[in-house]
Amino acid sequence: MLRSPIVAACIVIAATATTPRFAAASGHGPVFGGAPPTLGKGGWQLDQAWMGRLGKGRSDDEQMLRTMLSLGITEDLQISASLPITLDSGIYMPRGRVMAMMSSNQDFETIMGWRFQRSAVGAGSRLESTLFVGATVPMQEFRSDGMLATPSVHASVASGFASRRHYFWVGGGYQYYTEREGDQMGDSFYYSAVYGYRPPFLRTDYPKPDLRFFVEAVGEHTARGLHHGFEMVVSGGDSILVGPSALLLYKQYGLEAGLLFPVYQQTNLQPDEKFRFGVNFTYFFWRK
Amino acid sequence: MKMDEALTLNRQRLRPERRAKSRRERERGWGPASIEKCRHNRPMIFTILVLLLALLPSPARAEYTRVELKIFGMDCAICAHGVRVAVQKVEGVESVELSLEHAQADIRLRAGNAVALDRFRQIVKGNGFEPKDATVTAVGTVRDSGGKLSFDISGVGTSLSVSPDKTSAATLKLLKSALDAKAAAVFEVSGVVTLGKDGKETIAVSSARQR
Repeated sequence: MLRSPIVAACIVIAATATTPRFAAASGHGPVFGGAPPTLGKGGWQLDQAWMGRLGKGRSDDEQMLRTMLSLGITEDLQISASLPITLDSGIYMPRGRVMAMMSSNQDFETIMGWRFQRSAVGAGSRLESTLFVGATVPMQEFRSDGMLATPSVHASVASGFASRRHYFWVGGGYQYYTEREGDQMGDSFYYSAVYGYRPPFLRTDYPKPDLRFFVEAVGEHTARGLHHGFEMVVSGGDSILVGPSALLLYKQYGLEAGLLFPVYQQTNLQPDEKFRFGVNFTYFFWRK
Repeated sequence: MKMDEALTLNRQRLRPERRAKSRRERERGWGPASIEKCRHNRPMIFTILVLLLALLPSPARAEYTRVELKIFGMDCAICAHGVRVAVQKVEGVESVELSLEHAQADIRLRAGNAVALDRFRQIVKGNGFEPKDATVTAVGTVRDSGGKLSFDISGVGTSLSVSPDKTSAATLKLLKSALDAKAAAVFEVSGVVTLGKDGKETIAVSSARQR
């Protein structure tokens, strides 16, 4: 059935790459998981993220820089656009996302966030929910593994509670890749839960620096992909990752970093993941 | 020297035409002639001064001087910073301090401002938070219309109903006594402004001082 060993090898390599790898959030939420905060009206935000994944083998390592610009159109409507710079793709080019604001693919991405529910439940606390819809457009003809790069669309919802002491957010989303000449990445379903805590000694008032800590749990399920119209056996999979992260805010600057470690992996013979990391610097600015 | 002689000499010294020009005066062209010119221009100088004084804000101008606005929903430093930056950009705002612990913005306004309280509420809403009651200090006119007191801040086009339930009896007595002989009286008032569901603002006056 396979035309040559080279084609077979390509299929195997492509298959190993169809599990979502990593992604980073932005702004003043968690690093990896989804969160509902959006910018205020007329607020701008520039994010510079460095994210990556370390696999069991050296060739599995992946690293990427991603720059994102966001604008608050209204207090509940936000648009974002981001561009990647791949530092280390190895053979296993990252393909998916883990339900956050930045894709881990070599794609240009736009996202619109609509905060459809918001209520202040106390002086420093609120409940809110946001719907995100987005699209990605590949910036290359082929993925590094030889698979045709195709656009995708995705939608996710994040909801939760924020206060001066505790944060709790949950979210989930779905990403669909289009098919081209028989090549199609498997659809991704992703979900996350984040708990955040600001200890009493860090509950300092503005304009002092604001530091808080998170525990993030991220899960993802990826369907098997297609290559030349054939379903790839060595593709797709499930994984759940858990890890710590921290966010520091000071005036118009934000810095966050985090690690995720797999607690469950079902990789369909693909390489296991050791951990993933994300570092994000944010600059906020406002115009009239 | 006799006393009369001394007085005469002093008078002569005081008369400009008798004074000798100093080197500095000579350089600047000052001296008796220029002083005479000033005398001729007195009406014009007086007019200019009157105009300048008219342009200066009256101390009794109706306006807010301080607003402490409660804000619900702010949890982090960047939330507070966004609100502070937006409020600071409003013309007439002298300073603004944000507190996450007290969940409020403390805004001081310059004399002669024309900023309404609603402007700050809109800014807070625009940042995704909920404005609540505001403790204000303002200068305005207290009026009695059919037994109901109102506090008009004409400089910003606002009329607040004085809440009889939440204002102390002593303060109400003070306001009403000032209105005994006239229809309106100017007061500096401090109190809590609440926005009702019908869009009307009421003020619970905590202190009042007649101007």
